Amino acid sequence: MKVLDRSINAWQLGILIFILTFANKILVLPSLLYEGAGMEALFALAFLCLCEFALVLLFFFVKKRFPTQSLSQILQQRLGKGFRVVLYVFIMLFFLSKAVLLYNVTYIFFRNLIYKDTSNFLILFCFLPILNHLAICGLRVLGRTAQLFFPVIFGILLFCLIVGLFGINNRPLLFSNSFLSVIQTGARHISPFGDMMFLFLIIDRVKIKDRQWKIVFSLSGIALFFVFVISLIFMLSYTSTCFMHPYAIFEIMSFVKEYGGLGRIDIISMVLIIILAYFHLAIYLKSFMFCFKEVFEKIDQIYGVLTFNFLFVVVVVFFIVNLENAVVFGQEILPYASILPYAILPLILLFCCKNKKGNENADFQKMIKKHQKNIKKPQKNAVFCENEQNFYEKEKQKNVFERKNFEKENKEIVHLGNEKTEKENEKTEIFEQEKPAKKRQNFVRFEKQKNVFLHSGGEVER
Amino acid sequence: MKFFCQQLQKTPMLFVFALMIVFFGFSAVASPAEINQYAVVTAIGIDKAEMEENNEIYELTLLTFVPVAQQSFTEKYKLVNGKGRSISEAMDLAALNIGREVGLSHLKIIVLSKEIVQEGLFKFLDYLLRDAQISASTKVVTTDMQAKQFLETAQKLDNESSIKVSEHILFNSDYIYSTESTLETFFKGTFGPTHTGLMACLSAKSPDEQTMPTAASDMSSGAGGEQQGGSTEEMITQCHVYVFKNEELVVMLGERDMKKVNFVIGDYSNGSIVVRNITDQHFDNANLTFEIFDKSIAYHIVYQNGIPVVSIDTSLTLRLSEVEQENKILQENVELFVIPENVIDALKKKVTNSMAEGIEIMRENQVDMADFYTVLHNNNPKAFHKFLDSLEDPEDYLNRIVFKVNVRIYAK
Repeated sequence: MKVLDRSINAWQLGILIFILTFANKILVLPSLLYEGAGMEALFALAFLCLCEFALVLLFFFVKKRFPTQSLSQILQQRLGKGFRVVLYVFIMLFFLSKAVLLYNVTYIFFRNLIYKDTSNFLILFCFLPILNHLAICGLRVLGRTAQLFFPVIFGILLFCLIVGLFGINNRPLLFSNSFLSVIQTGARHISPFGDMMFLFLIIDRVKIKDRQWKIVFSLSGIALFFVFVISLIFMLSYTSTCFMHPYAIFEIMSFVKEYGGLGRIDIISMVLIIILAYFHLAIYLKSFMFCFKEVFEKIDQIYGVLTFNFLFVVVVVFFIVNLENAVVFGQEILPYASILPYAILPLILLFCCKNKKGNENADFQKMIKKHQKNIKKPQKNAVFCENEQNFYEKEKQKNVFERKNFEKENKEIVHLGNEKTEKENEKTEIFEQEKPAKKRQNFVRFEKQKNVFLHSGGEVER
Repeated sequence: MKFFCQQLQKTPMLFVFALMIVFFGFSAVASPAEINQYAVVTAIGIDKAEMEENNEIYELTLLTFVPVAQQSFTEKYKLVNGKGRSISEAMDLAALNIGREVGLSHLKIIVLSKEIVQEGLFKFLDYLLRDAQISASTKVVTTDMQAKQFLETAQKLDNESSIKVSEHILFNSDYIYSTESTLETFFKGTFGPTHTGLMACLSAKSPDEQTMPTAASDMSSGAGGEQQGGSTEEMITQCHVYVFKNEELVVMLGERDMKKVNFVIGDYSNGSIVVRNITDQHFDNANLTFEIFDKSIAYHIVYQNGIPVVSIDTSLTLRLSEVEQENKILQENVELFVIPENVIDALKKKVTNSMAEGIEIMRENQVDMADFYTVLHNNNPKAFHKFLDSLEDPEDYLNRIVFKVNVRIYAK
C-alpha cells in the first residue's frame, strides 16, 4: 500500500503543533506537578513549556538552514547511515512510548468516569482503525482534518478556561517548597514534553513562506499558554486537594458544575479530550511510520502501521493496565527518553548546522562561483580584428546576461524554492496518480535526479 | 453490489465503519437501558450498626431515584439499606437489595451520623473521595440523629414540598450563621496547612412555628403540594457547625458563635446585625436591625520584635431593615434617612466585639478557621517560620499573634 505524504502548509503545521502541545499535559500532569512541588511547580511547568517552544524555534532554524532536505538526508550526509538508523530507532520507540502513555491515561479516565464496564479491547477497537486510516491517508489529510476540527477544539478549550475561572476561590500556600523540589518535579515530569520532535520528521514536507512563520509561532505560543493556564486554574481551584483530582481539564469544569446552575457541563471537556486523543495518537503513529520507513527502507510503510498496532496493543494490554502503572511508566521510565528531544537531537542538529558539508546554501554559493568561472573569457594572446573585437564585446555581453539570468533564477530557487515547486508538486501529484506503477517508478527516479541536478545549478525541462 | 464491493475494497475505512455500525448498533439494541442497570443515588446516609462477631458493622442508606414512566413529571425516591464491615461491602449489599448497580454520579449529599463523626471521619469518607464519579461539590453534613432517620425526613420533605436538603445547605452557606459544607471545602481545610475542616450539622426537628415548610411523618409518597396532617411534623434545621482538627471533632459552634467567626473569615454575603438600646433625637431606646448589603475584608501584616501583628480591616455596607421601639414609629423617609453617627459607632463596637470573640473562639480551640497560617506564610515565609520556631508549641501560634481589628461601617 502506498502512503502519500504530501506537503502541508503553515496553517496546517501550526494547528498540528497546537493540538500536539496538549498531549499528556492537561489531564494528569497538573495534579502530579502540584503533588511534587505545590504551587511552585508552575515554575517547572513554565520552564518545560519554554523548552517545548525552543524545539519549535530550533525547527525554524533548521528549516531555514536546510529548506528542502529531510532529517534523514541531513543526518546521513554528515553522520553516516548507521548513526541515522540508530537515531531513528530511538525516535520510533520514543513515540511508541508516548502513544502508550497517552492512550492509557485517556482510557483510564473514560473507564473511571463513563465507560465503567467497557473493556480495553473495545476502546482499542474504536481507536485503532481511525488512527490507522488517518496515518495511512497521509500528512496532508491529517493536517486538513485537524484544520477542520480546530475551531471546535479552540472553542471548547476557551469555554473550559472561562468556566474554570469561576472555580477559583482559594488562597494557595506560596513558596513552601524548595527550589530543589521544583527542579526534581520538573525533571520527573518532563516526559509529557518533547513532542515537537515530530516537526523534524516532517521537515521536508512543510511548505512555508517566510512571512508565515508567525502563524506557527503564534499557535504554538497560544497552545503552551493554554496548557499553563489550565494548570494554574486547576491548582488555584483545588490547592491542597489536588491529589484527589487527577484529571485537570475535567475537574476544572466539574468544580463549578453546580454553582453555575448549568448541570453537567463537565461532559464538554470529555468531548475535547476524545478529539485530542485521536489526533495525538494519529500524530504519534505518523511519527512512528516516518521512523519505520527510515529504518526499514525496503519494506512497505504499511508494515510500519502493522508493527505499531502490534507493539501498541501488546504494551497496552500486557504491561500497562492501570493508572498507577501508567504514571510510574511516565514518571520513572519515560523521563530518560526525554534526553532524545532535549539533548541528543538539538546537539546533532546544531552540529549539522555548523558543519558546512552538505550545507544547502554553502553548496549553492560554491556552485555559483564555479559557474562564474566557467563563463567563457577572451584568450589573452588572441589577435583581434575589428570584427573579432565586436564579437568579443557581444560574447561578453551575452555572458553577463546569462550570468544575471542564472543568478536571478537561482535566487528564486533559494528563497522561493518551495513556492515555486508547490504548484509543480501538485501537478506531479496528479501526474503521479495517473501513471501506472512502472512509469511512476521511473518518474520518481527522474524526480530524484532532477533534485540533484537542481542543486548543482542546472535547469530542468520537462 | 459488485461496484459496492469494489468500493469497499478500495476504502477499507468504509468496511470498518460498516463493522462498527453492525457491532455497536446491535449491541445497543440488545443491551438493557442504562436506567435499568444503574440506581441513581442522590443521597447517602452512613450509620453505625450493632457489632457482629467482633466486627464493626456499618449501615448505609441510599436515597435512590426510581424513574417511572407516566404522563406527569414526578420524581420518586426510594430508601435502600445495606450493611457491611466496610463502606464498600455495605454499598455492594445495598446494590444487591436494589438489583441494580449503584451510580454515584448524581450524588448530592452525604449524611454522617454523630457516632460516625465521633469515631473518626476519614475511615468513612475515604471510599467516597476515591470514587471519581462523585463531584467535588457534593454536600457532606452530619446529623445529631440517625442518618437513616434524617434521610427519611428529607425524602418526605422532598416529596411533599420540593425542599431538597442539598439546596438547603447551598442556600445556608451564603449566610453569616453557617458555612459551606461540601466534600471539597471540608477536605481542602483538612488537608490544608491548618488541618481544620468545617462541616454543617443538620437536624430534623419539630418546628416551633407552623408557617415553616413541614413534612408529614407518615410514609406518603407521590406528587407534592398536598399537606397531610400527621401525628408529628418535622423540618430540617441547622443546629451546629462542627469543627474538625486533625480528623478529630474539636468544637461545635452554634449559629451565634459561627457568626462571630465568620466576621473574621469573611466568608458570607448575607446576614443581619442588631444594635440595642439606641437613644438619640430619632430613636428612643430602640433596637435597630441592619442587613448586610456588602462586605470586604483584608488582612495586613507587620512584624514587631519578630511577632506578627495582623490587622483585620473590615468594611461593611449595611441597610437599616427594622426599627423596634415601644409606642413610637420612625416617621422618616425610608430611603433618604441618614443613619446617625452614634448608631454607626454602636455598629462598629458591635462588629469589633464580635470579631474579637470570634478570634478568641479560634484561639481557645487552636483552630485556624480563617487560615491565618497561609496569609502569614505568603506574606513573609522567612519571618513567619522564624516566629513559629521561636514558639514552644508551634500549633499554638494563634495565641501568640497580635490581632488588630479595624471596622468601617457604611450604613444607608
